[in-house]
Amino acid sequence: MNQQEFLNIVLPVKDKLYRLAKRLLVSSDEAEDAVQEVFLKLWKGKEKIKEYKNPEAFAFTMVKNYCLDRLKSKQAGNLKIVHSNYKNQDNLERRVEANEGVSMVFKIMDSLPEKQKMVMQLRDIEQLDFSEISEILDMNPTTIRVTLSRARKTVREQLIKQYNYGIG
Amino acid sequence: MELDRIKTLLDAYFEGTSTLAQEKELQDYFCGSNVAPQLEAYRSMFSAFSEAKNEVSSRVLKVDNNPISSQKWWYGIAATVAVLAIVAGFVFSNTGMTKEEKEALAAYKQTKQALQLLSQKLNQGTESLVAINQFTVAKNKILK
Repeated sequence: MNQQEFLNIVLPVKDKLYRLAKRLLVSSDEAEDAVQEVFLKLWKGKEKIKEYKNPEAFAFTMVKNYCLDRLKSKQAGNLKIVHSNYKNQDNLERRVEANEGVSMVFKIMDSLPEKQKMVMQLRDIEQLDFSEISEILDMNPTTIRVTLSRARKTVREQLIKQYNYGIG
Repeated sequence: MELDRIKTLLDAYFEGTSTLAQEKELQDYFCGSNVAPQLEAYRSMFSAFSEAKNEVSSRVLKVDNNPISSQKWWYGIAATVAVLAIVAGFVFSNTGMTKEEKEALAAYKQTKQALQLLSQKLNQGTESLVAINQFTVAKNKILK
């Protein structure tokens, strides 16, 4: 497989992988690093990539594992995640900022447990079906449904709470 | 009518039982302009999801570095071999000793040779002394 063929396979999923990484790691720099790292690993093992029945799911799983490892090592090192991108926001984030309700949703999502974050990201944002999510996260569809339901309800509750307080 | 349908879909949505198509329907409804006021709170949820999907990675991938780096790997091997060869060369060429050491070694060899010669001669002497034993033999025969 040459570089072009490889890129043809991986580039369409790049942004999706990036979004998952960012959902977990929060920092956009770290998310970019995660994607780059995973692509390098995939490139090294590129001869095998065609053997996987679903290379996209495989890439997602690698990103998930990479990010969870990063988070674990951060916890172990007692380091706080640096939300550096909150300071230098790009255009999109500034636009998001303009909509208080939307940024509230993102904040609530940041506070969710990792599993719920991932399931919500893959389902509500990337619109994958349960079988793909179950392949990526190695969870059975029932667990995914329950996790998803919890995540959605938490977002709703928090959001309604905020609405009742009135968004300042 | 439509409101009822949306409410039913929302219930399924929060139970995690809605299908992708139904979720798409909700998404379209809440991103549209005529959201019922009592459902306003949900609007930000669905617009957040569609906003989130627009986010893209801005960094350019650098996988092409990899084949070069595997070449560099060979450079690394080559460099290691070269360094080893040079080190080995130094180690082995150092067995060539200084002049003084050489002289000492030559002297040592000569002395060894000389001593060997001496011991050879001595051994020859002792061999010829074997005949002396005959006296003991003869004496033992007589004096039992």
